[in-house]
Parts: sequence; C-alpha cells; structure tokens
Amino acid sequence: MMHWRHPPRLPVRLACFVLAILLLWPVPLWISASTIAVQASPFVAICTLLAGWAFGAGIILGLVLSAIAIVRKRWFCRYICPVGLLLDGFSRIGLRKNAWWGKCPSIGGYIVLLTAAGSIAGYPLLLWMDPLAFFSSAFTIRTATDILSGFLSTAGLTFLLLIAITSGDLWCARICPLGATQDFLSGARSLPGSFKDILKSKSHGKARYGIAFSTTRRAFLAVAAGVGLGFLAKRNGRARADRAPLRPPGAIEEDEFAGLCVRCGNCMRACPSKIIRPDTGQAGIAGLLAPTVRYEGEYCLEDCNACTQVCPSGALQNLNLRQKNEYVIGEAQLDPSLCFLVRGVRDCDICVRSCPFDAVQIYWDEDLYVACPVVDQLKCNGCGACEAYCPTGDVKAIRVWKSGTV
Amino acid sequence: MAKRISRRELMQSVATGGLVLAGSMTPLESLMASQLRPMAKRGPQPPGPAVARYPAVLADGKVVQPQRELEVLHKTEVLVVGGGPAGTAAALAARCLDVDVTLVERYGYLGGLATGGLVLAIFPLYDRDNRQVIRGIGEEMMQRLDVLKYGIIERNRAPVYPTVDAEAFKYVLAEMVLESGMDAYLDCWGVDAIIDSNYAVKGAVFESKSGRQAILADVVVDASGDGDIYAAAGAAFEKIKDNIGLVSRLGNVSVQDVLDEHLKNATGPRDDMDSGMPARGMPVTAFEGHVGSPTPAPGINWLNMKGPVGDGLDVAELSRMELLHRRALWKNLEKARRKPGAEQAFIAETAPQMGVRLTRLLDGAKKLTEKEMKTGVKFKDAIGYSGAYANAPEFQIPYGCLVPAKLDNLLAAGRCVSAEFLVADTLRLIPVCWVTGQAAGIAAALCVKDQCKPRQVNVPRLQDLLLKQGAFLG
Repeated sequence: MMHWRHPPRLPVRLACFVLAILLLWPVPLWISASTIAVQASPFVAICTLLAGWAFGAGIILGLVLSAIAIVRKRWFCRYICPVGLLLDGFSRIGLRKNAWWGKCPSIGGYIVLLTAAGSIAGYPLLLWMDPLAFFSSAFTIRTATDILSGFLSTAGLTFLLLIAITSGDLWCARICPLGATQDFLSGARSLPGSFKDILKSKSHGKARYGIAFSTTRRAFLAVAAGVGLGFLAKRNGRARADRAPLRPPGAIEEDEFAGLCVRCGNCMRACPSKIIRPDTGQAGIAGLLAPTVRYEGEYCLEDCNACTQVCPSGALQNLNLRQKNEYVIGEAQLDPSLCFLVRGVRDCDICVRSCPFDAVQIYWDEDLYVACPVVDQLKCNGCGACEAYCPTGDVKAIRVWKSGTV
Repeated sequence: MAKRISRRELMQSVATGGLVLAGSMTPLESLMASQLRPMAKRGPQPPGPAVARYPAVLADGKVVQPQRELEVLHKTEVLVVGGGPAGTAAALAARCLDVDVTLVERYGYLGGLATGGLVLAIFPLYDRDNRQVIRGIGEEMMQRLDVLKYGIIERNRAPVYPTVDAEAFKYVLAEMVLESGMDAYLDCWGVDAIIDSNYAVKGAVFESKSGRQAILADVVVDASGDGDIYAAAGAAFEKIKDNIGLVSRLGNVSVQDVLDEHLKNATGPRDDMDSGMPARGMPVTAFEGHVGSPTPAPGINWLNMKGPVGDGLDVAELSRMELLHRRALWKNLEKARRKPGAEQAFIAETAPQMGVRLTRLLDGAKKLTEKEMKTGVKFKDAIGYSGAYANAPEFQIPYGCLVPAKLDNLLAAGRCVSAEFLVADTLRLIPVCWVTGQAAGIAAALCVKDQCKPRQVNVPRLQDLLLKQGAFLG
C-alpha cells in the first residue's frame, strides 16, 4: 500500500518521457499514436469533450488520468508529464532558484476556466497552451520546410524552457493549464460542501501547487469572459472565413477551427507530402501556427488520410479514405492569362494528367481559337495536384482557392 | 644522267602517254556522267520505253483499280517506313548492325513532327530525380545539335527540357542518314503493305512522282506514325481521335512573352488572396495574341496550338482544319503586334505538317496499360524508358508493345505502338519515339541476322545491343 502510494518517481517519469517520444518520433508506433500523446492531457481531453468534436481511446485515457487526478493531487505532473520532467531538469541548472513569483496568483486556473467556458461556446480559447501540445509541436521541426515555421513550431517548448531556466517552477505552479485542471479536479473531491473554500484557498508560497482563486466572483467572471470571448472569436473567425488559408482535409468550420486546434503539429508530421504547414499569420493572430495547406511541389494524395487520423482535438475530423477524398479542401481555378497551354508557350496538359479525379478537361474554344483547361467543380476536391505540378513558375496558373472565395 | 633521249624516243613516249591518257579519260567521263546523272539536257526529252498504263476505271458507278504488276524499286533487308523521330532512330540503329537498310519518308526532309511539325520540345527526357532516362541515338542527335550554333538550347538543365531548331535538326538527320550509308527515299508516301500467303509482311508499296512502286524487305518497321502499313496489312488496331493543331514560328519577337512581365510582378502564391483571382468558368479575358516561347534561333519564337479534336485519318477534316488554323494564326499575329515587343513580329513559318497526335494504336503482343505506367511496373523485355510527366513517374516500355499480335515481319515504332490511349499520350512524344524507334531498328536487324520473326527476337541480345548503343534501360 505504501509502495503504491509513493511509487518511485524518477523511473516512472523517465518511462513516460520515453513513451511520449516513441509516440511522437520518428515513426509513430501506429498511425494515430501521436493523438494519444496529446489527448492524455486532462486539459485537452476535457475541453475537447466539452467542445464536442472528438472522442476516442485517447480521450478516454485522458479522462482516466483526470479521474486519478481527483484522488491524487497533481498526479499527472509528478509522474507522467514529459514537459514537467524537462522543466524540472532545466530549472535545476537554472539561474534563479528562489521563487520570486511566490505571491503571484495562479494564472492557470483562469486559463482553464476561460478555455473550458469557451469550449462550451465551441471555441476553446487557450487550448493551445497545453504543455503536451507544445511538446508535440517541437517535433514538427523535423518536417519544417522553412526557418520561420521551424522556429514557430519549437517556440512554445523553447519558451517553457526559458521560463524554467530563469524562473524555476513558474510555469508548472502558476501558469500551466494542465496543472490547474488537476487542481480543479482534486478540489472536486471535497465538493460539494467546500467548493467555496477551494476557490478561496490562497497559495502563500508554502504550497507550490495550489489554487489561487480568491473569490467565486473572479471565477464567474472568467467563465463569462470565456463564453463571451468564445462567441466573439467564432464570429471573428466566420467573418474572416473567406480570407482564411486552405485547411487540411477534415477541418471543421473555419469559425471554430483556429480555436479547437491545439497546434500540436501532429497533422504536419503525419503528412507524407509535407503540404501541411503552420500558419505564419495568413489568417490573423488567432490562426497563428494552425495548419494550412500549401501545394508547393506536392499535393494531397488520393490514397492518404493520415492527417485526419492524428488530430487530438477533433479540429481535423477523423475521415476514412473515401470520406477524405470527398472532403473539399478548396476548388481549383485557372488563371488563363498565366496558362502555358492558353498562351501557346507549349503543349502543356499537366493539370489534366495530374488530376487524380479526372476533374480537369481541355476545352477547345472555336471562337477564341484557344484551348483552355476547365475544372469540373463537382469532381474537384482541391487536392492540389494540378497546382503542385503546374509548370508556370513561382505563380501557378491553376491554383486551389478556398471554396466560396472565387 | 648523261644519256639523252632521242627524238624518236620522245615521240614514242608522248604517243604512249597520250594513248594512256585518252584511255583513262573514258572511264572518268562515264564516272562523271553517272555521278551527275540528272545532268540531262534541258528541254524536250526523247520518249522513254513504252509503259503499260492501268488507270482506274469507272464502271457501273464504281471506280475500280485494275489488277497490275508493280515495279520493284528496291530490295532491302530492313525497310523503315517513315522518317520521323522513330523512323530515323530505327533506320540508324539498324544500320549500325551492318544490315541493308532503306528509309522511306513522305515529306522532303527528315524529322517528321519534330522538324516539320515544329514540335521543338524534347520532352519528357528526365525522371523524377532529373536524371536523363532517354539516351542512345536521341542523345547522339542532341550532341550533334550541341555543336551547331543555334542548334539546341536548355541542354542538361533538368527539369527544364531542351528546345531544338527545326532546320538544324533536319540538317543533323540528313547528315546522319548520309553517313550511315542507308538507302533513303524522300517524298515517297507508303500506301500499302505487301504480304505473302502466310500473312507475313514482305515489303511496302509507295506512291511518289515515279508512280506506284514496291520495295521488298525481310522486315518492315512501321514508323509512319499513323500505323498506315500495319493497318493496310490487316493488323488489328484501336482508332483514336485527338487534338490536331498547327504550330508556327514567329520572327522579330523581342520579348519572350508580354505576360512574363506580369509574372515577374506577381507575388508568391496565395499571399495575394485578394488579387489575381480568376473568373469562374471559361475565361473571357482578352486573348490579345500569343507569341509562344523562345527557340534556339534569336528573335524566333515557336507558338503552340492545341487545336480541336479531330480525325487524323480523314482528309476532308484535316484539310478544313488546316485552312482554319492558318487563318487563326494570322489573326493571332495581328493581335500580337499590338503588344509591346511584338510590334514588328511576323510569321516566320507555319509548320508543314499539322500536329496530328494519335490516330491508330496497334493491338500488340503487349498493350501497355495506364495502371502499369502509373505504378512503374518493371518488364523483363524492357527496351527503354519514358521520362516522368506530371505526377506519372518515368516508366519502362516493353518490347511487346512494338510487336503486332498476329501480323509477322513487322514492328511498330513511334506514336502508333501498342498501348492504352493515356499511355500512348506520352509514348507519342519526341524522345519516347526515339526509344521505341531505336529498339525496333535493332530488333529488325536481329530478325535479319538470326533469320527469325520479330516475336522470336532474342530479347537479352536486343537489350545488350541497346546498351551498347548507349540506351538507358534502368
């Protein structure tokens, strides 16, 4: 019994760390392995469940771990969290070991409340702050195609490590929403009688892990703000939808996509064509680092649905191969003023040949006396083969555009 | 030294010398006469020997060609019908094995669509890793173009593919054919096959200014493009309709294309979400005349035309199309002249041959399928590769594609070989025609040497000889 109460910490932590790496790098144990690595976070599991877009083995695991957190305070942090291990290590070699932030209130609790409330509105505002998502995202550097996206993919974890070096446990104790989620859960043990006490119990620097809610009023405000901001963000997303970049297949509606996406980079790593790239600001600050699709040299393969299998939050819906091929990423449109065939530069029919769905045909216009590729929008799913292979140079004559923007 | 020759001796030697000289003059004169045979006198000629005439006869409303014996113009071991990319490659490859080769070409130059059709793009030449997978005789032709001024551009710059000058290419092919020592007949249209009672091809019949004549051969390579000879012999084939256009060359074009400036000014893809969006559906943008892309010759562009889908075997359709194409080319030129850089443009040449893409596809011992092409199936009897095109990778071409399913003593080469339409759509391209041509030529020479039928050719030996001629088999 005692042994169970206090299992040896370091071996378990190391084992979990190695397991997390195995799930994420370099070849996953199974196709959706990387999903589990993120869904194990109670924060992600609960919020995506509230948002209602994802359910599966990983979520169940996350809920089981959540349940343990009710019984064992911050159990996840102490035994499982690979980021926790990393930060512990880094804070040891860190510059400052005194907790200058000791009197700061817990920001994490507000993050959790905001996000959970936003989830109910369909827009989990700060879900991307989950440490496991940061951890997962760092592996995306392997497939990054340019310096900016490589930098951005590791930025989260790098930031945490910098915090650990400069300020010790600040992240884990005060900011981390995963940790704060556990605090709420362990607090739930004493519910219903002492809910008020939990929220009132202040951390005075003695307990490193504690709930820093002073009043129910603040909690209530946070929830209200979460719901309000969630709706606002959705409205903003809807308004920008027609200017949004292309999303990977299975992406939910644009108004909720940027919120639900945890930026774990799983889809980017899963894509064999490496066409899923982090958004570097095309869809505004809200969409930063969310996956976008760019057809530079490769396209969305007709025999692949990998990205739809690895999303932990359901921002990319799980689609089978047939459903994926029916999912419309965008629509291909030709700019005839650039087209080699139209301009007589050469006898090009690459878009026709490359289309896996026979959606492009060459149309001969007797009056204009010109041949022009024409896209059948009923067959086109925006896989981008035509764009990827179009030989016109930096600017492709045929490009996939977000549906409804053309 | 002291001895002086007498007057008599001098007279004697002069006389003998004169006699010897006179004697030697006679064969020289006859030699010159035979070399300059057409030297013939200008003006009215003496009547030749009487020739029996058998004109077609209209009887009961039907036109009947009476049975008649044809003059045998020539007897050869390998007869290649068609002097395009496939035919010239076949004839030159066969000639390398020291068999008697005769090449017959419908037009007055060699190179077929590559020169006369102004299909100047040597594409597809490379695999997905930009490695050149089409070599052999085609590579030799390009190397000969390399040393000519304005002969070829963009060589060895994969994935950009080379563009040749049509006249330089005609010259190179003429030189190669003359050097090879083969017999070549130009302006000679293969119109019929000669078969024996065993359904084996024994030669072909031609129409030229000399009338209807026969050439007998041990093996015939049908590189006519349209499969005219195997169709005439009764081999089964698939009829295809494809786009037929007319390529032209424009002179005095100082910019490659006015749109290039527009391209340079445009920003990267999708960074300009609001600008440059194309209109939905068929374009109605101003088609203000196109000037095509550069050729090796300075100031000369070539302008492609896809053309409408038509029947390349229907003379009425072809004739009407060609007239319409020429009219359209002139109208395009007038529009192009309104653009800066093309004000002084003129049509340097319209292609002598229309761009007939596919007409007949042989039913061969092996029909290369689209699936095999896309999955890159390897063949034991591979005779070469086609380069990668769009998302289809490079693929092997088996020997069976050149051999008719039933007909004997004939090999197909070029765009009329045995393949499914979508595969043939790649096989028809210039460098791929070199590949099938070279293989058919060597196979035909092997038939002669080994006294066998095309379907019995020793394939490992064929592959060995292809490799020796520099071909790429993987």
